Amino acid sequence: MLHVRVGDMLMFGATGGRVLEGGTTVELMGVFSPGVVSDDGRVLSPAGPPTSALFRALQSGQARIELIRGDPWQGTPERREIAIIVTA
Amino acid sequence: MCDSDQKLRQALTKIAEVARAAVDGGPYTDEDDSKPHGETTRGSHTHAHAGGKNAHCSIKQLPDRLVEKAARTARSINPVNGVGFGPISAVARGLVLDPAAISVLVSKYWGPQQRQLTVSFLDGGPSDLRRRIIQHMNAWNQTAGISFVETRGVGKVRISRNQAGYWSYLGTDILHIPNNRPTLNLQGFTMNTSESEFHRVVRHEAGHTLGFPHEHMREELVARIDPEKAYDFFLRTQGWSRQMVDQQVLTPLSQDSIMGTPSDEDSIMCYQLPGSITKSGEPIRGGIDINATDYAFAGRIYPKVSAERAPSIQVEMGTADEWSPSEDVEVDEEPVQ
Ligand SMILES: [Zn+2]
Repeated sequence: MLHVRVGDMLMFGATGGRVLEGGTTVELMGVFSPGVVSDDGRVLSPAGPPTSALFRALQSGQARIELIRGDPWQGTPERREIAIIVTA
Repeated sequence: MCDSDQKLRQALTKIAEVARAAVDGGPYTDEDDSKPHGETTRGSHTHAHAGGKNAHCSIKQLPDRLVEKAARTARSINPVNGVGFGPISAVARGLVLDPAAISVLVSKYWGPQQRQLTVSFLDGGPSDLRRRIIQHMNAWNQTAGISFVETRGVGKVRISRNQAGYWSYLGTDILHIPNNRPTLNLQGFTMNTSESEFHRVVRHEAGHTLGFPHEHMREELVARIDPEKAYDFFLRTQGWSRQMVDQQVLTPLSQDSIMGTPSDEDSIMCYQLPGSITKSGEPIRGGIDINATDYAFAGRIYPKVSAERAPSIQVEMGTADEWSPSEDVEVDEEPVQ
């Protein structure tokens, strides 16, 4: 169970994610690939699926989210549910 | 040898010439480029050995004592790495390559010299696991002149196992990643991971480290996917936005493609995609190990000149040009970035 405040951003290392319950309490902002600013000024991203799932707490209430890790292409990724309580 | 093989070989010849021109310090001229590339093997590049009896012999040899040094210099200069990664797929389609197409082919390419890439493990791990991972990465070394070797220091390849997903930066990009960050991630790999996953995942990620992007992004394979089904599938299974699905699955790599062979859904660099997202209902199989085409391609891109073969090549190419050591030129070596 995670306790967060309204406006908090939650970033998880995951290849995917979604809100199972409480979509007005917490929203999935997206699943992103990391970028590294290289020593020569380019932004480099690895080849592979995205690795960061970003959520935002919108208003007080409860929510349940699911994080997906592992290989998106093989059909048996690891899934984990997390309950979230958002307070003002 | 098929047409695309020959064009690839020509591209490699060109790459080797650019690198050599930099080492020699001589002017690199491109006068052949106005001609169809089918002619380049006749060896009329002006900086090549004058009067070479055949094209493959027109390579100027350094005295033995300087060969190693030149290789180091070439690596530090590596002039072919400054440009965007490009359409090796053009080779596959049998198009005549223009000079840009050849140079862009190699932007993340390690160069034709044989080399060893050091590997370190950011989260440690047991020695048998580290050895097993490196052993699978070195599967490419069966045909390619690049090998991986563990170091106790900071490796050029830095492997983590505690971040999300399986991924690697592409080719020489790994040299630009901060030293404390991984360049390759194998989420959750342990000695209990099945051998087939070592084949499928570790070898795939090592392929990225060699500079090979995803094969499933080839035009011909992307064309088999039904976009609406893909958006729906990945939203459902992964929560991915349409933009992410576009980026991961639906954008064909006509500009920055991969293996210079006809698209190959059995390549180790091809992901498996389910039949539920293709137009025909047939899945894209995806590679489960380095296949014969992958091995052949890696061997052409990274030629492996074994110690046993070297003397015969030397004979074919003519003996090295000798001069006295007092005439050797000092070249300032720059550290590899
Ligand atoms: Zn990949």
